[in-house]
Amino acid sequence: MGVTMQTFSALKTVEDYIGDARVLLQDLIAPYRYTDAQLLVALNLALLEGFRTRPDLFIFDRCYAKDGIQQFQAVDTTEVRMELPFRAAFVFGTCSHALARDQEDTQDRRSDDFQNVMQSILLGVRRKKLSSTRPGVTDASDTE
Amino acid sequence: MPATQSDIDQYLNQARVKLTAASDAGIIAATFDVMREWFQYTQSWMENIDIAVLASTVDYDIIPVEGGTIMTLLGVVDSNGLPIPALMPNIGTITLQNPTNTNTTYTVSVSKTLALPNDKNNFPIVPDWVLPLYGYQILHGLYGNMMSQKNMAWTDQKWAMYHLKRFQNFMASARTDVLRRRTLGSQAWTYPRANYTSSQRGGVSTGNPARFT
Repeated sequence: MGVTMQTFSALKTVEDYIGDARVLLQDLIAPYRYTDAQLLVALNLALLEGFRTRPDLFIFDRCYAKDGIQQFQAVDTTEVRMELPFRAAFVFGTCSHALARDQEDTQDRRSDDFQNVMQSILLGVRRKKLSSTRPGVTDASDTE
Repeated sequence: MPATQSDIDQYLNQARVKLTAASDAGIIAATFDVMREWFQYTQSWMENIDIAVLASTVDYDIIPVEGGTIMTLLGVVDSNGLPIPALMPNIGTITLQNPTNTNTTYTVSVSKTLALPNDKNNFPIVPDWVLPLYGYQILHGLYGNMMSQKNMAWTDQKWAMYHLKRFQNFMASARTDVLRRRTLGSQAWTYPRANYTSSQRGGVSTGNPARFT
């Protein structure tokens, strides 16, 4: 018997985005820490943030032309229209917003890091390392 | 016939390699501007349109059948290939200087530029010969256009200048090729001497065999 490979999802649908965000958030077992509704809001806001920094990604989106940026109401198989190289950015953006609502200092730091990764992917600049949230680890150790 | 998918893929792949982190949508949007500049300067996209001329009528609407939008009137010839004085004061409407006595057919030559809408993948609709022939040159315009954008990963003002300069040179060269009707070593294309006038009374554009002097 060979090793079974998990089928890779290219982040096509809303389900894919929310599912992958839960992996990064380590929130895979019900009852979830972050509800679907909360993560949907986070995804929608990430798309708005993406539009702010990279409006070219939305140029040919007919939805944008008529009604604004694509926004979602449910975690389902609706396609998120986004070019392949930029899809991961919106997973990190979703996580960033989800973490930002937590009232824990360590989560603020992690939220910032996810936001940085999102911006790095969108803007194409060198991404910062994800920082450690261990107590006592300083910024100096994060520099590249 | 519009550009083939393989030519479009080749074009986009080249652009993706050079313009790190640029989106396809951004590349295609910039391509539209670059191509429009290319066609407006070089006048390399031409079309001959036949019109049925009616006796004592001088104004005729013309519509390109091969896509694009009309930009400049290059000339009008009759069924014997002789030039007919005409102007295009309004885009898409030919005005003959003299009405004819009988119904006949004239051929109108126009140069064109891009028009919306784009194709289903949002790529500009251009003839199939454009990318194989001028894709490399248009890419330089694209690089220059995008590298001169501010604060993006692909921004590079120094290289933008280089590419834009090359693009200008390519456009000048292509325009000369078009004026010579893509022949090597010939003069700018004209009708035989007997057919052209040296005054403006003919009222024809400079691309017409009858020249302004």
